[in-house]
Amino acid sequence: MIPHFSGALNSDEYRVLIELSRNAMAIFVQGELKYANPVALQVFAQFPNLLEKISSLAVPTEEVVRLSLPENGQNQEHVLECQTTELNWQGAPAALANFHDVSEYYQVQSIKSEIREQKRVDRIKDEFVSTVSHEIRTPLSIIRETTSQILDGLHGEITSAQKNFLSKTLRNIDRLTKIINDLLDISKIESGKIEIRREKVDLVSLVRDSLVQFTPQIQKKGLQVLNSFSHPHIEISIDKDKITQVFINLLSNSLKFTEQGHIGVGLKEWDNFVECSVMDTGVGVASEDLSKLFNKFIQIGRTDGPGQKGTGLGLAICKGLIELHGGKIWVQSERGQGTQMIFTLPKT
Amino acid sequence: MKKVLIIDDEADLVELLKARLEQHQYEISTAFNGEEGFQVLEKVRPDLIILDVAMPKVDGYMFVQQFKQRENLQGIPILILTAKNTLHELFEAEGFYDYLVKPFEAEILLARIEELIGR
Repeated sequence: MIPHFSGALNSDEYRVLIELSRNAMAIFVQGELKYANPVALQVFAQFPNLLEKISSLAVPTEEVVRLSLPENGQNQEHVLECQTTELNWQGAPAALANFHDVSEYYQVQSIKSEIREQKRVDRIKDEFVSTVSHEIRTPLSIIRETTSQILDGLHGEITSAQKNFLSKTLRNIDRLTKIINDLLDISKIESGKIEIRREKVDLVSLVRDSLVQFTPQIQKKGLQVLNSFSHPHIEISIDKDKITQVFINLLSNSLKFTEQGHIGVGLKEWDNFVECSVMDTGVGVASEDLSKLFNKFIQIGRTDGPGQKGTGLGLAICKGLIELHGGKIWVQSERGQGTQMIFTLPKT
Repeated sequence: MKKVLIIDDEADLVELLKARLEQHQYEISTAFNGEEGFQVLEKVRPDLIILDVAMPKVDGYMFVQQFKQRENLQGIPILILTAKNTLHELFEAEGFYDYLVKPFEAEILLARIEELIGR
C-alpha cells in the first residue's frame, strides 16, 4: 500500500529537503545558473567542465543525457547522467537539471561485459583447438599408416636410403602428433575441462614403469640411474595417467639435456603428502631463465641442428596437472650444475 | 581365418587397415557408416569390429547403443578407433572399454586386436 501524507509542507521544510537531498539539482534560466543545491555545488567543484556542459543542454527534453568528464586533477573519466525538466522560475521559463555520478555502475557493467567477452573468447578458442586437433588426427593417421606400411615392406621392397628418409617422415609425424596432443592438453587445463580421476596407486611402481621406456636412451648415452625412495611402496590417491604423464615429461626433459652422469627420481613420503623429484646432472638452467620455465611456449636450451625438439608446453602441462592434484612444482638448478624438478602431491 | 569388420567413413584409412590386417591373415569386411555396418552384420559374424566414431548417418556412438539391443550380436568385441580422445567416458558408460586414438601405431593396433580376439 502506498502511504498517504496529509498537510502541505511549508517553504522551510521544502528547503531542508532540497538542501539535504543526495540528488544534485540546478536551475538554469537561458543557460545561466540561478540555483544549485549543496550536492550540485560539490559536483560542479569535482568536474570543472560540468557547469558549462549542463548549461549548454539547450531545451529541456526529459531525456537522460550521459556526459563523460575527467575529474578535477585526476585522469579517470567519470560518467554522469543528467535529466532536464521544464519549469517556471521567478516568472521566467527555466530548466531544472537533475544529475548524478553513475561511474561505479558503469565500471561494474563494463567489467561484467569484459568477463563475458573473455569467457566467450575462451570457449571459442577451446572449441577451435579441440576441433582442429581432432580434424588433423584423421589425415595424420592415414599419412602415418601409409608411411609405416611402405617402411614395413607391405607394398614391395624398399632401398635402405628410402627407408632412412621414410623413417624421418614417421618421426616427424609423431612429433606433429605430440604437438597436437600438448595443445589439446594445455587448452583443456586452461579451460578447467580436465578431470582428475583418483585411484589408489603405488607411486614407486608408477615411477619404475615410467622409467622403463627410457631404458634404451639411457643406455645409449651411458647414463646411470640413481633413484631414492623413502619407502619400498608409497601408496597415494592420484590420477595415474596424468601423474605418469608428468614423470615421463620431466624424465624426457632430463634425458634431453644430460650427456653424462646420471638421472634419477626421488620419492619422500611425509605425513600428508609425497615429495617427488626428478634430477639430472645435465646442462642446468641459467638463473635468469628459472622464472620463465613454466610459461607456455618457452623453450630454454633448445638446440639447433639434430636432436629432439619439444613443443614448449611440457612444463606448463606438468604444472597444470600437479596443481589440479593440489600440489606444487618448483625447480632448483644452476647453469652447468644439473637440474632438480621438485613437486608435491597431497596423499588424498 | 579370423574375421574383422572395419566401420569407418575414411575410405583411405579403410583401405590401409584392410591391407595391414590382410597381411596378418585376417579376413576383412568393410562398411562406411554404422547403418552399412549393421547390413554387413546380417551376412557376416566377425570376430571383432573396428569402429570409428565420427561418421555420417549412424555414428559410432549410435552404433554401440543399437548394437547392445541386438541379442544375436552379443559377444563380438568392439575396438573403438577414433580421432577424438575425449570420448572414453561416454563409451565406458555404455560398457565399451577398448579405445584407441588416431594416429595409432600398427604394432599397438595389432596387439589390441589379438588380445580382443584371443588369438
